[in-house]
Amino acid sequence: MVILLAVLVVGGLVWLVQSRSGRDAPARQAGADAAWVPTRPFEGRTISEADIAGGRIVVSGLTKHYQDVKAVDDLSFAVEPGRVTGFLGPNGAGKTTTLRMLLGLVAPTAGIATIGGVRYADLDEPARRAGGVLEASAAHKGRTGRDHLRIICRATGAPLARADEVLEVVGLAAAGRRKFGGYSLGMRQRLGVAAALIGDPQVLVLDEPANGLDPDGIRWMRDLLRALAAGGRTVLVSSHQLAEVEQLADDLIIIAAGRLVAQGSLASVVGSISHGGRTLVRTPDVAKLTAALDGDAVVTPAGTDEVYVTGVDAAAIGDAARRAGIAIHQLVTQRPDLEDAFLELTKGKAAIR
Amino acid sequence: MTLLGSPALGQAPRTGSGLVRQARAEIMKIRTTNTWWLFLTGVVVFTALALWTNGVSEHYVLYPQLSAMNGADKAQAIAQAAQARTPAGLAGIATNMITSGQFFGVMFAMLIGVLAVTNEFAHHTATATFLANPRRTVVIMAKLIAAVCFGAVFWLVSTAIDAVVTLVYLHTQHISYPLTGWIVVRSVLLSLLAYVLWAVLGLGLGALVGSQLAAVITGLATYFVSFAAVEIIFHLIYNVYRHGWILGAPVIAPAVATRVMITPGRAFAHAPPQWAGLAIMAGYAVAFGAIGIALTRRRDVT
Repeated sequence: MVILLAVLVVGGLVWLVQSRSGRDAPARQAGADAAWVPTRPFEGRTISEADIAGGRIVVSGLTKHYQDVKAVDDLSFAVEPGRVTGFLGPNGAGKTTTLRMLLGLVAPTAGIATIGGVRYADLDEPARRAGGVLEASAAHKGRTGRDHLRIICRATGAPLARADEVLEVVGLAAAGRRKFGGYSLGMRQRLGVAAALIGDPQVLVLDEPANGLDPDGIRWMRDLLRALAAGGRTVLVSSHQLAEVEQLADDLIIIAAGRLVAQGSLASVVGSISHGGRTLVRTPDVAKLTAALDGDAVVTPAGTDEVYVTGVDAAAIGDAARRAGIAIHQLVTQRPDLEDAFLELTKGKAAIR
Repeated sequence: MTLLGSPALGQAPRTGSGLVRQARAEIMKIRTTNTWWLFLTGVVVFTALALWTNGVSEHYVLYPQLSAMNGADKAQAIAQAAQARTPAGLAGIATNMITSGQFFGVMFAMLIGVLAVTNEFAHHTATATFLANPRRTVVIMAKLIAAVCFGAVFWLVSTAIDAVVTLVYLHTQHISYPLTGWIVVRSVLLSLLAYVLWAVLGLGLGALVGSQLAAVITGLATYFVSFAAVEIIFHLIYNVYRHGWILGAPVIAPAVATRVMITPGRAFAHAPPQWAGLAIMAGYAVAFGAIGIALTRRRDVT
C-alpha cells in the first residue's frame, strides 16, 4: 500500500512539474509581464546605440577545411548594423559554411567569426543577440509549427506566448496548430524566420531565405528585412537571386572558392567592374561613325554592323551621326548591373571543387 | 514603421538556469510528438501481457493440477508448491508479479534515449536546437535528463499497474504477503534503476551511431541478441578452459548485467553478485553518456 502511495505521489509530482511548465508563462503574462500580451506583433523596442554597436559582425581569417577541400579559405569581412548585406557567391563558394561557422554550428579550422566582438557560442544570451534562418525544412514533421516555436521559446528562456507573436509576425498564425509535415516550402521558410525572431535579435542571418517563396512571399521577405535593417538591426542574407539582392541589399560581400572577391556598397561593387556603362550602336557604316566621333570616345566592335561606344553618351553619338549624315538603326545605353559585376568578379573561380 | 517585438522580451525574467530551461525544452520535444505515448501504450500492453503470463504460471505453481500428473511429477509439483509457500517463495512471487513488464519497459526507455538524439539529425532539427542553445554540453545533459524522466514515467506507469494487480492477485490466490517489505521495494527500485540506466545507454548509443535506423537496430540487438551471443561465446570458451568464472563472464553484456543487477541472489549459475551487475551497468551508462557528450560537442551541424 505504501508503495502504491509512493508511486502515486511521485507520479503526481512529475505531472505537476509538466503541467506547471506549460502554465507558468501565461500566468506570468497576466501578472507582472502584462506587456507580453501579443496585441500588436510589430510594436517596437527601440534599438540603443550600444545594441547597434553589439550588432557588428566581424569575420577574420575564417578557414574551414574538409579533408582536401578548402571550403572557406582565410575569409575576412565585416557586416554593419542598420544595413542589409547581401552575401553572394557561386554554388559551393562556402556561403553556407561561413554562415554556420558564424553561428557556432560548424567549428572553424582557423580564424574567428564574432557578433559584437564575441563568438556566438560565447554570447550571454545568444538567441537574443542573433537569429539564424539556415534550413528551410528543419522541424519534426509530426510536430506542429507552434510547438516547434514553443520549444525554442523554452530553450531560450522566452515566454511561451512569444511563439504566437512570431507566428503572427510571419503570417502563419492560422497554420500554427498544423503539423510541420504538411507545410509548403514557403510556409517552412516563414516558420524558420519566426524561429529566428523569437529572441527579437539584434542580428539576423539568413541563408537563401527566398528559396521556395512565391512572388508575394518574396515581397514580404524583402519588406521584413528592409524594415529590420531600418530599425538598426544587422541583416546578413545569402542569395542566388541577384535581381532580388539588387533590390534588397545596401552592401555586398561576394566570395568565390572560399575567398573574398569583393566587399562594399552595392553601388561601389557594381561600379567597380571594367565597363562603367556603354552604348550599343547599330549602323551600316561603322568606319564612318568611328571617324565622326570625337576623341573621348572608345569604340569596340561588337558585331558586323554593331559597336560598343564608351566615353561619350548616347546623345553625343546621335548628334555626331546626324552631323556626318550616318544612319543609326539602334542606339541603346547599357548600364552595368549586379549580374554583370557578379559574373565578372567570380569568373573562372566558380569551378566545382 | 516600427518593427518587431515585444517590448517586454528584453526584460522578460529568465526562467531558471540554462540546464533547467533546456531540460524543459527537451521534455517538451518528446511530449509534442506521438512517439512517447505510442511507447507508453507499448509499456502498458507489455505490462498487461507479462502480468497475465506471470499470474497464470505462479497460479499453477501454487495450485498444481495434481490429478493430471503421474507419480514423479506429482511429488515434484507438491514440493514446488510447498517451496512457493515459504517466505522466500512468497517474496519471489510478489517481486515477480510487481516487476511484470519490466523487460520490455526497459527497452522502450532505451529507445526513448536513442530517439532523443537521433531525431535531431533525422529531422534536421539539430540546427534549430543548437541555434537556440549553442552550449552543447548543456543540450546533451538536458536530453539525458529528459530521457531519464520518460524512462522513469514508463517505470511509474508499469509499476502502478503491477502494484494494483499484484494486490488483487495475491488476494485471489489467498496469499497474504506485504508489498512494503524491503525485498519487494528493493526489486521495484532496482527496476527503476534499470529503466534509467538504459535510457542513458540509449542516448549515448544514439550519439555514437548517429543514423536513427542503425541506432535503433543496434540498441535492440544489444538488448535482445547480445544476451544469447555472449552466453554462447562464453560457453564455447568454457568448453576449452574449464573455469567457473567464465560462465559468469557474460555479465559484461549490458542485458546480462541488468539481469544480474535486478535479480536477488544469483541470476544464474556462476553469476557474479548483484553489485557487480550494477557496477557494470553504471559503467556503461557513464561511458555512453560521456561518449554522447564528447561526440555532440565536436560534431559539425551541416
